[in-house]
Amino acid sequence: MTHTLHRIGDRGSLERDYILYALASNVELLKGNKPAYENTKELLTKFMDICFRHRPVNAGCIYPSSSPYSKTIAKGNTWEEMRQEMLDYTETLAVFDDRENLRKVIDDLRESDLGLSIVLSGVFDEVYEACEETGLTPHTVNIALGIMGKKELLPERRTLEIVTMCGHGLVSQYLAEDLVRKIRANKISVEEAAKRLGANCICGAFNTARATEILTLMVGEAHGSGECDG
Amino acid sequence: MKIDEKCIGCRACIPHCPVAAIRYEEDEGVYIEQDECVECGVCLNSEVCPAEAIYQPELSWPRVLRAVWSSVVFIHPETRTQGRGTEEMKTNDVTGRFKPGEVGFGLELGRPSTGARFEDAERVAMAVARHGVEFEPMNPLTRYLDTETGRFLDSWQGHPLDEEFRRTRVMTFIIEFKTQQEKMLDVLETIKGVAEEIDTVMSVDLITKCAENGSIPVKHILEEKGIEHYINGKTCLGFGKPAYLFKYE
Repeated sequence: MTHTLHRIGDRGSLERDYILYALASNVELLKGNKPAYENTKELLTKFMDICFRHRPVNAGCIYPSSSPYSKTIAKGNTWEEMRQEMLDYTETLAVFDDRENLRKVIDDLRESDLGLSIVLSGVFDEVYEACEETGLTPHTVNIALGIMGKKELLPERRTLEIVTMCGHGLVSQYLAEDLVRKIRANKISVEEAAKRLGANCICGAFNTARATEILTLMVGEAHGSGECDG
Repeated sequence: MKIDEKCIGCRACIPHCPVAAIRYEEDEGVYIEQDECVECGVCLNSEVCPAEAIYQPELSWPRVLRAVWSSVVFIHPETRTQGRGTEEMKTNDVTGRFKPGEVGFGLELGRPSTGARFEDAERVAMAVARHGVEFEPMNPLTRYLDTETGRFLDSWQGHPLDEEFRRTRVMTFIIEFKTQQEKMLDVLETIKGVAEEIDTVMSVDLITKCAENGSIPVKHILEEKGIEHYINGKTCLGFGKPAYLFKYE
């Protein structure tokens, strides 16, 4: 699915939010043909080895039909713990909040020539600039045209900035609002609240560093400010 | 999901539910409104309940569809990947799913935060089907559709696609299809129109193969027509091998 698309935010905030996602296509397998990759587990592990060399703010692995079904930095897992559970169909991704680190990761991925499909989500201008600097030509894009329909059902803008960082919809707007109240009441720190939200994101796409910034803004803003413009 | 008699009424689980299905009433205590619950499992997986009172009961048709479309770890038998859609543009460097001159759409009903019912998905599918779009055959929702009309089939593998099915609520659906670039604006108009008829929201994705120099072919059309889009999105970097050999005009 398109779970790293539709992240809402101001340019300044989104410029600290990049997700790298690796995928081994299984389309040939579904057509009854020989799979395109025979060593997927090894390739995905190498992808994550490279990502972890450059300090992601969050990262995760989903292990379908396994227990535990996912491990992420936000849940408190280390790469070593994630690495031990790797499977051929493990979903792997990593989130970066620093453009320089991002460029280094892309450079390393280009050099490693894994052959996996790799998607980079982020501000297009920045992504294109990073591609140019690392000698890549963008291949295919997915553009978010916004939200249509019954927008009156949506939470306010800042809450949307938080919940759209989990494209699977597992980070609850009500939990975000509840945690803001608890931060205001000094029952939890902003950092702990961001981690608590991130723990419900199963794949690790939730940017906990950015969530800390947004929660800080929410705590300082009057309730009800920031109408959603989709 | 359900809550059993071990519940101590602390209400800690209530804010964790992304679709506000966990309720509290004086006489009933804490309970999960079954028609609203999408079976995403967040309440259980968050391990927030100190009494371990939240549990996953066995699900039968059509209720099991809620878990299929809401739980991230469920692998669809058709797509053999977890999630509600396909690899879409993520592996276009290998599959060639979207070719020059084509545009892909992903209509994500219920996203963000609102949930959606199958009846909403059918309404949208029927609207876009009038343009003769090509529904993505590997998308799990497409298997329920008459792809000519966008209407649901009468049954699927012996299961009736009836009113109860249509009222089934999930976290999100993705209707995936592609069409020729020259039809893009007409299809978009239809999407805007039908969005006003559904009881939820939808997030709209537009996919295009980049030109040989990496530029985005539809960008000038969106700008000329004043169609707003986010400054951020997804870019396939073209690392995939074996690479699909695209032909450009």
